[in-house]
Amino acid sequence: MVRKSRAHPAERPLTETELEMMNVIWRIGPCSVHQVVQALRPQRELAYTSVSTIIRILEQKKYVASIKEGRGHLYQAAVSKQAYQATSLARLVSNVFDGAPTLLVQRLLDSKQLSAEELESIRASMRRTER
Amino acid sequence: MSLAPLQIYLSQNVLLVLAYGLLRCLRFASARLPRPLAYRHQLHCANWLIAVAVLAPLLAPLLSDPHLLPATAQVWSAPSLHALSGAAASVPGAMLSLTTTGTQLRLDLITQCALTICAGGLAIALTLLLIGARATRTLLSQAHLIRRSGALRILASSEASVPFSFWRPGRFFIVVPVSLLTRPEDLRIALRHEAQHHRQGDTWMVYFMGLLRGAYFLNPAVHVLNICVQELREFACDEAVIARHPVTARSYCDCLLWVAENALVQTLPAVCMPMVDQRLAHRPRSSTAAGERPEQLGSKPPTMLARRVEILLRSPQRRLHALVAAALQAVAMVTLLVTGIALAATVQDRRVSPSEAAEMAAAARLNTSFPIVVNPQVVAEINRLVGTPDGRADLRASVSRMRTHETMIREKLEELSLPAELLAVPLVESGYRNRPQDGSAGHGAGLWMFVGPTARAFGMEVYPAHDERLNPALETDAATKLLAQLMAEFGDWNLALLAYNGGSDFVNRSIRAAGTRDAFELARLGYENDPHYLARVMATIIVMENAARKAYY
Repeated sequence: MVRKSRAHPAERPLTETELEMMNVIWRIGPCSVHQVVQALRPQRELAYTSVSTIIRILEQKKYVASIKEGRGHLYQAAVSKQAYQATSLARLVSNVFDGAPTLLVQRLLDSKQLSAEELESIRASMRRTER
Repeated sequence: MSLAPLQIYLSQNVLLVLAYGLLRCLRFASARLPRPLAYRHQLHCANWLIAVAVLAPLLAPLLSDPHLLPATAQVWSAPSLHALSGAAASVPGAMLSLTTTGTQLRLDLITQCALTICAGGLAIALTLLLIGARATRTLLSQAHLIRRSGALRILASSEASVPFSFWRPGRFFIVVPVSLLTRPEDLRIALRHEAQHHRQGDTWMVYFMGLLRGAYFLNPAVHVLNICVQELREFACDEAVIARHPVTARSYCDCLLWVAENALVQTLPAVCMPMVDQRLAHRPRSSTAAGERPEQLGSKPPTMLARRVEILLRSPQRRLHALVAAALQAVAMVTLLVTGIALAATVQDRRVSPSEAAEMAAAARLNTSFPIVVNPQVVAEINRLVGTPDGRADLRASVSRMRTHETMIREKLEELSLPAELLAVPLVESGYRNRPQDGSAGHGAGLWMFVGPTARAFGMEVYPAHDERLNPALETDAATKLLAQLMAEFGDWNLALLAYNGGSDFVNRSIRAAGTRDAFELARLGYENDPHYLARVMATIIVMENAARKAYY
């Protein structure tokens, strides 16, 4: 019954729970399910089977790739955090800001007090992009 | 076109209304009992009532005992008995009388409309169910299999925001949202809840109810029954999970509320059975007004979700014993079944087919030596008598009046060794009304409708102030003598009857002109004083001879 999904990862965004697992994998790199369970503790006491299921869903959604390691598997991110940020931002711009990135930047500048260093960093990024 | 489909469709609609009424009565009474009915019993009752409402009208025609069907309950009519010319042309078409005197609609047209509505609704419902099943299949294809056990599949889905169960032939699915995997206690509750839906058969009943709503979409009772059953499914499910598993009501409610929050963002196809249906969860419950008390929830009626929480948190009640509950259900179902059988007579085609008329004639011949004839004219007249409500009413009234004079007439017939079947003659002539002479001199008077000259020929005095034809005994005496004379003259009762109506000279002339002594052939060729007189007398004799065999009128 359960068939391989043909959807591209970018088309199937992560749920809150899945993002929580991905953040662990992005942070600690290739890891076993047991390592993810350990990394989530003590804030989150999740059962091994629950974490394993979620990671396999992530694998099915092609956010994670598995490597055979002895009797078990190691899981590593198939989509980098930067790539996910980019696709999430693109989705946000498309869905919330009518496809206009300037609106997003404007809203960011309006709603958050940025320090002088942060502003200078943004200017530097823009100069690099212009070149 | 047969009226059976219309009869079945109308009966099912009436029974569905009654099923809803019975269910509401049961729930109303249950809410007031010190030991109320368990919700699972209420759900069983609802499911059975719906099944009986649909099936009873299908089974009713199989009951062959005619005494079960009240003869006076038919609502359809044919052209009036008194509209002789219209009905004479052919066997009357079935009509639906909207009033006793006025508008009539063709029943075959109504049957066609009803069948079109039913088939159209079913087709739309089936299409919607298939679309829903296809959408659910897509959802399942993107889900991840957690566990399989026999035909059961448990899946986790990123796309689903509420746990739900789904059935397709041979497979049972439970789908939980991924976020629920991080809440082990809620996950266990949700799995038990959805498994209970499968156990109760709710997941396949959804299809049945979907089709039912399509087929009877014009009947509001079906839609309210559906809502009632949806509520009972959830109440029964909650009740069973709490009773069967070590789950506290508090944690169960927490789980429900958590699911309800997530249910707001998703509408699942109708074939799915979500733990909290957002279409129902926030809808005020109408049943509180009739049955269960709205409690401490402000002036607004409680929503379905609020009711579920309230029931769960209520201190455990002892439920009505299963045997008593079964007895109550049985009473409700028997009421529905009996109504279904009684309704089988409300709309039915009472016309007699030629083959049935032949059977009636054969049965009549067993009791008499009178020459019983059955032909298309007689069949048409039988149908004018017993195939229409006013025909049957007229016949019933005439037979009732006949009882007053029957003994006297029988005695006089026996004196002259005449057949008792001649009792049908005054029934056709006057309907056993002792009619005075009307304005026309050519018209008869009395039970036997003797015209003036014939009455005088038999020694009766016929004056406006004193008319002996209105003396039933005198007129019967004369009529039996006349009939005996005519029989002696023609040697055939059918020719004698033609002569009684038109005179012996008229019949003799007719025989010479037509070259036949077959009375029915003469009648067919138009040699009759009153059109269809002979066929009407014959039809009356056949019906009366069969009155004991079946309630024809």
